[in-house]
Amino acid sequence: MSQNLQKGTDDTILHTSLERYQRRRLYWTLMITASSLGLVFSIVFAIMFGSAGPFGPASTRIFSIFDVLREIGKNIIRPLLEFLNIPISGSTDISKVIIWDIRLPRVIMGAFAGMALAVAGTVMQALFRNPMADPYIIGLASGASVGASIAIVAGGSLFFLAGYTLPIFAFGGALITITIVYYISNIRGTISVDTLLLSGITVGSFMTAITSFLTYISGEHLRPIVFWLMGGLSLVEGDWDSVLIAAMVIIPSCFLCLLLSRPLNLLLLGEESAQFRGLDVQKLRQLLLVLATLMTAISVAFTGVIGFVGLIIPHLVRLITGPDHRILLPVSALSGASFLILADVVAKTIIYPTELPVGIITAFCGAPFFLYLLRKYKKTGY
Amino acid sequence: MRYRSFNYILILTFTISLSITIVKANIEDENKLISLANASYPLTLTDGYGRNVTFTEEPQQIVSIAPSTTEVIYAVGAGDKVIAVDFSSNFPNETASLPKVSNFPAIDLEALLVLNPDLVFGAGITSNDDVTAMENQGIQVFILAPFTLEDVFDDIVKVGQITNHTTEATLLKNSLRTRLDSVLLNASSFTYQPKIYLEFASDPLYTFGKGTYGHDLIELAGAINIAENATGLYPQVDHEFIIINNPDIIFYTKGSWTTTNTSSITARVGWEAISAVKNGMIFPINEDWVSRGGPRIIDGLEAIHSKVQDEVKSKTLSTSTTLSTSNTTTMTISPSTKDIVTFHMFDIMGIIPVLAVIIFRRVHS
Repeated sequence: MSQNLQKGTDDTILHTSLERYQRRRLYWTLMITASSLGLVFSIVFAIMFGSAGPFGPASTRIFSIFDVLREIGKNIIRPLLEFLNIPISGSTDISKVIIWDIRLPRVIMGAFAGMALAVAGTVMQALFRNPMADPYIIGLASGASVGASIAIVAGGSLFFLAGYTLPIFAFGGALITITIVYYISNIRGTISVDTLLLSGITVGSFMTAITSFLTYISGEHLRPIVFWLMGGLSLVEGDWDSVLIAAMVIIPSCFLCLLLSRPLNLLLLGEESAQFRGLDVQKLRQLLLVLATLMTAISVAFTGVIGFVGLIIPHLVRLITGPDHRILLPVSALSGASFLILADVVAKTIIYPTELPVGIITAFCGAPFFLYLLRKYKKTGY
Repeated sequence: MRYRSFNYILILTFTISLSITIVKANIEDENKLISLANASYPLTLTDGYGRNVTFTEEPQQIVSIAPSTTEVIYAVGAGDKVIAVDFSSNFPNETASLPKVSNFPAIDLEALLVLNPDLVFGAGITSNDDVTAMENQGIQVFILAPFTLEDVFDDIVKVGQITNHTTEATLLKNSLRTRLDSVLLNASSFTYQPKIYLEFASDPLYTFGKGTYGHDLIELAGAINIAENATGLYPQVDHEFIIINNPDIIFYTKGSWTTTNTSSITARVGWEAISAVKNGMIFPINEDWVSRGGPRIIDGLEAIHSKVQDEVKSKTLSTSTTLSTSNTTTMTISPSTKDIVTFHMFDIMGIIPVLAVIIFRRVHS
């Protein structure tokens, strides 16, 4: 800018900033298009994996790539066909059930969970102005784990909640923990970030102690609890309802966060600077906490504690897009979704037919790759 | 498999005289052993960890720190010498009134010192460190760590020898072996091997893999475990794997903590396509029968075998009436598909769009 000023004419300034604006718009459009395409590609790619093929063991392979695509296409336009009274042909029961009812919910849940974790991670990093922040930083995962462990250990005695015992307990545990943390750090109507962080870590440790206790005494329940603590998408196989419930929370929350991307940018300047620029920091902080908590809690409730996505995806994307939340948030959301979907494919197939918790894969593949990018592209501090 | 290959020829040769032979053998063993029964101390035996343990006299106070060893001790008739068991021991019912020490997999050394037993029976879950710790305190330890049914039989005899119940132990072993042999003989006559899915836990689905009793019992019973190629002792599998492998029989373990039942399995999405579900071949099985290396493992074998037998019979009948019901699915296979490829490739693909942008930015800056 100073150079432009030295050049003198208003015309040049106007011209240059307009050019920069146009160029930025082009970049942003490109980035969003690319990451959307990446997500679509990931979903289609992930749906091809399974015991029935086309990518899978030769002995039980019965689908070709086209079978899968046809099945998906047919089910997408099914309501339309039914409305027009056109009979649906060529769809065997087994292909519909396996591709549409078993594989797809898992993939779509992966997309929503990855999206929620990445967006919540971005928001938390801005909120705390701390590169170590992730969606679980104020004890959400520990709280959800306590709820889930109780549900697993209590087992059949909680029959009144039917199939949703575990998600409801996990969600409840997460919300209760965050509420406690919030009230502890709420001093005369204002929340200080430092108090929030400290009380979050402390309450989290307390909750972890309870989970550890439950895990230690769990005996035969150990496997389900350990699986849940590492996170996995296999719990939603054949369960579209869970996916819909998660979507109803995650999509609006992500959308609201996107609308708040300008205030988020201001928040990066620091609390006082943001206040001077006319931002109600307290209100914004509350709103963002609620949104991030809600979407993380709902995804944790259905998938368990999937680590790493919420921490690394925002950093990874920030390396490419820069810190402006208007582009950082949508690209994070889309990349987080793709990343989790692909990690789940690996978890499901790497030692087929045994499945791994996806949390192992997200950390194992993601960490080295992130370090590589960090060394290569990071030129300044956080 | 290993049992069958060994026993096949033997058993088939003596099919007709089988029952007579067994009765004879029993009587002979009995006669031989009664003469030996009281003259066995000092006695040196090798335990499940390959340690040589010497017994100078009959142990009078025994503690068992694993449910499987508790069952063996009681089965050979030495239950009256047991003064304490671990928290997981729940069979036979007499154990309910005994003091409970040591919660699997940890031991309670202090409680053991207070009880001051002559002998502690441990299992493969007892760590080497714990064995050393007990021995350092002067407690004699004997480990039973059976891997096969043969090992279980051997362990029964060893426990009998140690506790001076050799006769009972040998009789028990012979009767178990007879039951095993009759299952093997019957299984050898099967015209086909049904596929079995043995569920250990739901949400997520866990089953029995190679190296577990559950897997061995399925094979001995004349059937195939659909998870035989899975990695890990208790592998987690997905719904699609079960559906596409189409088991003929589904067993689910029934224990104190499980909530699975037949109707909850039938209600799972997509499982109605599985022939076990179609034909109502879903059965509970006592968890302890298929997971403890004790005498009740033969109960587990017989339970599985009887359902396998039903399945084979019904299939033989139905194929004789309608020959065209072959279940093999032969659909078009796309030419380009390979088996599971190297997966680190795919992981990188996720960031292809991201890399594209990096390159784009570099070019234009």
